Amino acid sequence: MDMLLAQHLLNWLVQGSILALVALGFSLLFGVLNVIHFSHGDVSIVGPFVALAVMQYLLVEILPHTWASALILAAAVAIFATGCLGVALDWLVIRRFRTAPAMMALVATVALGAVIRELIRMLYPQGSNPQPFPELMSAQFEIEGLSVPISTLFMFAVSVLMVAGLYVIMHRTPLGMRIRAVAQDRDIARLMGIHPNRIFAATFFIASAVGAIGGIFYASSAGLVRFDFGIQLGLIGFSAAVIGGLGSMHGAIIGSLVLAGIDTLAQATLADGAAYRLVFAFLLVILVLVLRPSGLFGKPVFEKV
Amino acid sequence: MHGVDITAGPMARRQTGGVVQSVAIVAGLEIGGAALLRTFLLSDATWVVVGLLAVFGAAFAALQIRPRLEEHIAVAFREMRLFALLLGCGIVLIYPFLMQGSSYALHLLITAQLYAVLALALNFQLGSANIPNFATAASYGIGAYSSALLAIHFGISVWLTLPVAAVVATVFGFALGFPAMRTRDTYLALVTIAFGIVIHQLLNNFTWTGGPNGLAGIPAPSILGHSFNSPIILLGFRLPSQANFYYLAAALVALSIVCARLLHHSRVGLAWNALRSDELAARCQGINVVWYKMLAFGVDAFLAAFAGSIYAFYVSYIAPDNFTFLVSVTIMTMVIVGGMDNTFGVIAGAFLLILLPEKLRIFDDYRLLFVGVVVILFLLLRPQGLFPQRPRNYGDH
Amino acid sequence: MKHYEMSRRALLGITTLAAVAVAASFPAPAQNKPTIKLGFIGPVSGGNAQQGLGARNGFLLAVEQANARADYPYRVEAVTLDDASDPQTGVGAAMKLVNDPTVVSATGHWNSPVALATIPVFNRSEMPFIVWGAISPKITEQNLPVVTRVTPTLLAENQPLAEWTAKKLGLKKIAIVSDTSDYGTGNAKAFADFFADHGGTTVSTNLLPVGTTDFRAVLTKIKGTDAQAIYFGGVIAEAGILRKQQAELGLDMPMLGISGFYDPGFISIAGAAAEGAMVSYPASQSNPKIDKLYADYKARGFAEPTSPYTKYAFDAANILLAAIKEVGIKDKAALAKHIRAIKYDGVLGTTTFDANGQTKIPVKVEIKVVRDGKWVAKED
Repeated sequence: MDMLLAQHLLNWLVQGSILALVALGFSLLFGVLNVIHFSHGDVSIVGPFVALAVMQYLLVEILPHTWASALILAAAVAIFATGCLGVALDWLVIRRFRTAPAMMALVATVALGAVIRELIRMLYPQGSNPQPFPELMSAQFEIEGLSVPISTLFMFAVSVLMVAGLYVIMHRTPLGMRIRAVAQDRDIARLMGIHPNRIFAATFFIASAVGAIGGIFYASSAGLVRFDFGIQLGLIGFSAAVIGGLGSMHGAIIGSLVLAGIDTLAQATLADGAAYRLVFAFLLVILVLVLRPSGLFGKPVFEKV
Repeated sequence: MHGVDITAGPMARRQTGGVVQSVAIVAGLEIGGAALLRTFLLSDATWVVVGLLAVFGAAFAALQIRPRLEEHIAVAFREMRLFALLLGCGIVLIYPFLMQGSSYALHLLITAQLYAVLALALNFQLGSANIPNFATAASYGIGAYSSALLAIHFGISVWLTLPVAAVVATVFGFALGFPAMRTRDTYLALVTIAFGIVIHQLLNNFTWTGGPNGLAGIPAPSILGHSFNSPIILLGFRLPSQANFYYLAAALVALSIVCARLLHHSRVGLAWNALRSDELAARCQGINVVWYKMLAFGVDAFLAAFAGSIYAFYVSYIAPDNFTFLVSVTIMTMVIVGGMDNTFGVIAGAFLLILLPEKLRIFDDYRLLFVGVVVILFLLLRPQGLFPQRPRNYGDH
Repeated sequence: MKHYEMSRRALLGITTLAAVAVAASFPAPAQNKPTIKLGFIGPVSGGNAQQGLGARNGFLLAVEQANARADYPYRVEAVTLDDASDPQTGVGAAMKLVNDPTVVSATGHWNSPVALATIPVFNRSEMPFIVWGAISPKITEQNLPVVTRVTPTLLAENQPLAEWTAKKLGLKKIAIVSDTSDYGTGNAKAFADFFADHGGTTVSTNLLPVGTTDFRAVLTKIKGTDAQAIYFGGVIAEAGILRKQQAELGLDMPMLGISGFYDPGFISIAGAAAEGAMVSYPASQSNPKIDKLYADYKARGFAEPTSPYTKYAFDAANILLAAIKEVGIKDKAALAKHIRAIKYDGVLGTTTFDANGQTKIPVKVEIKVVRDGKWVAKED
């Protein structure tokens, strides 16, 4: 039984790490800048598709045998490209809803998500089919019969690194200061010489790039990627971010771990748990929001009169 | 001047040629609109469909460029209210006879009407009180399942199941309202999304709801021996059996419009609008925020359940996949694109979003993409919706 | 107050618009064409597009081949509609078809809920309808006279597999993993029941919502039981993920299923882990006609690869075409009766229908196994 428990814990870690990367993006956008961006999940899924496309090209044209380095290069390109996509979407569409009522931005970004999905489906060859995705690293080592894939540890390390990195960016760099300034009061920030649009662009880049890493990990862990993965990834990632508290970087990873934890727990212990995993996950969301309306680590919203 | 309408009252009487002009506008728009809709429904030719969309777009572009037009039209409708109402009812009543016996056209109209009711239901929350609710499909589903289960397992008459289903859904609506009280905006949206998904999964997993295969063989309602599955034969005209449900759905739409107007003009509507403007100020005014919010959830669920029940009896088969998160998103889009807090607007939004994807089957593969792009363009170009909400009138009317 | 009076121009504009609208609504003169239309409905968008597109192409191929034949009395036009795996969209598509007087019959659906929603529509309009994919027994249980189905029900496929697993493989304990869709739950229950009939027990049943990409938790749970094999009742993509993660967790046991994931896609997703996975495959479907179908498909150069349902839609279309050729298009009821009584020799074998419209092709299965990255017949 000990072995099983350890295995369950590892599974939990994998899920939580992947989710955290997507949740970070949501937290950054929704929580810090109050940007409603329901298509973040779909943007994150663009990452693995770009990576696949680049890899096909690389492997055929340039590096026909080095699998691993092709993957790394492709991932790097994908992350950068997705970041740029985020910036482009902001500039084209989302920016125009900044002063609009929240509901409008919500519906617009949901429609945007559908557009992104359909574009992936149509532009990627045989886009309707699931596309196999290579594993990041297939090595694993054994500890007393328990197989520990290195990829699990890698993903977890990257997630923690991202959380730490974002925290550092937000609180220790000039860029972070500007972001927080814009978040606090856009007009005063402008008076201070900050270009709000540039700051939004930068934030979108960071959030989308981190999301792309999450998307690539998600595809790698599943072994395939499909154009409509963005819906569920976005919903669950958003829920994780909310549970942890929007705007809080460490909240994102803790919220993800909590959500992944309930999921794994339900599946592992209850006989019918697997069928109800979404029910448990979302009941948890409702519960957390009832008890702590701004999430576990979110800043309570005070309304100034 | 905000909220005070100077085209009503003593000023208006100074307009010359007013009555004839107004009648012309009202009759022209109603009959013209009905005719356009009919062509849209019945034609299959690509160029006709695209052409009609272009006409529609041009009309709204005209309204956008010349806002005066909008005012004139609004004035005309307000002055000739009784005439507009009677003409409208007349058109709705004889519409099925003009459909050339096409059950497909009637089917589209029924679906559009049911969604219009759903959009109206959501309008109370979203439009009037600015509460984002992604769980309307859940209320829709609960209503449908309640009616269906009662009719199938207990043989209860269809008409009796309607109010029971509505009550059940309202209870669930209040259940959703409770956690919704504590949250705001994005968090509130997520709570409703979560609720919607939970209901969908439960409907799918429980065996007594039929599981993923749903419930089949739901009996059709009947009035005075006339079953809704048999065609209507009147004055030598034979209407397909869908016509029965068309009239039922139309009756429900009429009922919803009446409810909407009553609520809008009552203290409740006023309170909801106050909540939307500024919740804190509303609370300071002594408005019981919690009660009115709960009421919004309840009313939404109540109406949605009616639509759900009728849907169940119409298609005689329901499955959990009829009531997903995406359905809620569609309803929300209808309200926003149609014009928040504008009764006619959300109905127009519902018709648009139901008929457009069906008629664009010609583009099949690109259907979803097209609808998504259209929605975004719409929100960019005409953010106030098809028919924007109008300021309340405190003149003499 | 002159500026509140509508300008004459605007009034003229609105009236013109209304007049145009009324004029445009008068119907265009009717057009008479000596063609018939055959309808196809299936999921060509959304998550199940993989199944639907392959089927649609099979349908289109059959229609094209009929049009190329000099001896076919009609020119056939294919009408393909999307049901997006959604009952409501499916009903809309069905209504569109039954309303078009030139559509003679149709074939459709991969999802059982969609089929269950549309067959009353087809029945009310007396339009013959052949199901090419949905496998819920409930569809033919209703015995609607216009409905027939060329695919075996999930009962017919799972029974031989369960028997083989208990008798030939000699396994007593099995773990079931499946999805919560109609397809997945139906399979899970059918297999469990049949396996029990042959003396086996199911030690663990795990149904997961469609779209799950992480099976590690349930696999770990299964690791802790004494299951000897895993039965998977879902589709290609998830099957591949499951097998891959099964290998990753070091869960060394056979994986079984019905023909739902008998597809090269399974192997490309599961990779090396696919080795040894076994499915049951209806034996009568390995014949020269089916090879010709695949060759023709490839020659035609469709953008999408075949799916396990290409052959079903192909034969469904051909059955409709054959019946129409013999009976004509005037009497729909006679057409439906003729289809029910038909004996059609096609890529699926010789299709005949039972009293409920269910195909009677016996499901004698052969077991296919993955060896060296390819599906081959299992050595005995």
